[in-house]
Amino acid sequence: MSATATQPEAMPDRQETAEVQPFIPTPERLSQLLEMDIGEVRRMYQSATERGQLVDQIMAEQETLSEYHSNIYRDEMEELIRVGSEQLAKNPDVSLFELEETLHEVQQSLAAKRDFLTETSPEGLSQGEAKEQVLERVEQSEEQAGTEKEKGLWHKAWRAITWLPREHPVIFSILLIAAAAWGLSELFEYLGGAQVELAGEADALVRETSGAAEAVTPVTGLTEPGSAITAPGTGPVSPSGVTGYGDTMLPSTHPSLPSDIPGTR
Amino acid sequence: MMNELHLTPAEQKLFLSLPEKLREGWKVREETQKFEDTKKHLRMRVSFLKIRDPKLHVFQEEIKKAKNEKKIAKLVSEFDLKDVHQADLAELFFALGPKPLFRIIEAILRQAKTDEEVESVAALSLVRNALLRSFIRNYV
Repeated sequence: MSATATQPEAMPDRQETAEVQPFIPTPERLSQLLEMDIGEVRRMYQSATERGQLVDQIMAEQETLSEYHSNIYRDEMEELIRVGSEQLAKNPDVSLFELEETLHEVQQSLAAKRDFLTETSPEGLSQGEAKEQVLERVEQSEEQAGTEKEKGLWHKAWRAITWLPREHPVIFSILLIAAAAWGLSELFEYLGGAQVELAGEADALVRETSGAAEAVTPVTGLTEPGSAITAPGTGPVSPSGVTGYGDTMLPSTHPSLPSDIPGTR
Repeated sequence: MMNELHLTPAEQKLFLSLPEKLREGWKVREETQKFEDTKKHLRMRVSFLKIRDPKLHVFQEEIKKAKNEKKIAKLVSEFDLKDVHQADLAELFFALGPKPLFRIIEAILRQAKTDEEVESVAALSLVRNALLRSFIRNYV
């Protein structure tokens, strides 16, 4: 594989496209990028045991690809291909457009997460990554964090948060998110019962994730607005100038999705 | 700087209404970033949440074993964030997104009576500032 041998979609000409774009690994794009038969790529893409080989091939060209793409990281490629393969498994006739839409959303979330974690908590990088990749990223994050003073700033900020008193709205909010991710509906319902307001269908999130947050696979569906939920403490709170989540079409296995998340008492 | 508060104009007004003693020593910077979060983004973020902290896993197991709401209420009321790993806090705040922090910060400022509460606003506004930056940069 070489940069010159690939199709424009997979490897844009740098002179034409100065901006480094993320790589969205659909089977079609991978077929172009790796110069492999599309049928073979699709088969490997959907095989839990073989899709790692596709990632290996991408990562073998990391240096070259990184000149053109901003997201050539092993964990990100693994995640994108996993989600793509699950999408294809659920709906083999899914259009390329739909698949790309989903993978774009995944890619944006992963990139936002990488940026946020890198800035705020470089030691918390994924344990699944190759060590050199982690070290490289830590190095980058240190550059990003700038000075020792700046790194100390985040340490102080997180420490201030860990010292928040019990039953603080922040604690309820993050427990609520954890409950959704863990699929703990009893905890979620309890938190939805008093202090923290949830305007939306966050309970659907609990059902959806079912305690396996990392394995949630987006598939195409529609959402419907749900009713407000409140969580422990003082009861419902009226929204205070914060607009709700839009009624966007979402990929979902359930008819509804969270439209808002915890507020405060 | 941990003596900086990243506040929206409305929050700045609330801060200015606090007693002078509480305001002493803090520098206010205007939070100008805006981001309209969506259900789709939230759902995706929660789906990628990775929690590794042993304290949180113990809590998860205790909740699973809890037989009734009373027991859950007790566990929740006794839970604090002391010793929770910073990386896991970052994961949780990332999944949560910036939106709830606007309301939490406003609520704290409305009733702040101690320096610790103002310090928590500084920390939360810093987290919100970083979240907004990463969301605006990547959710396009």
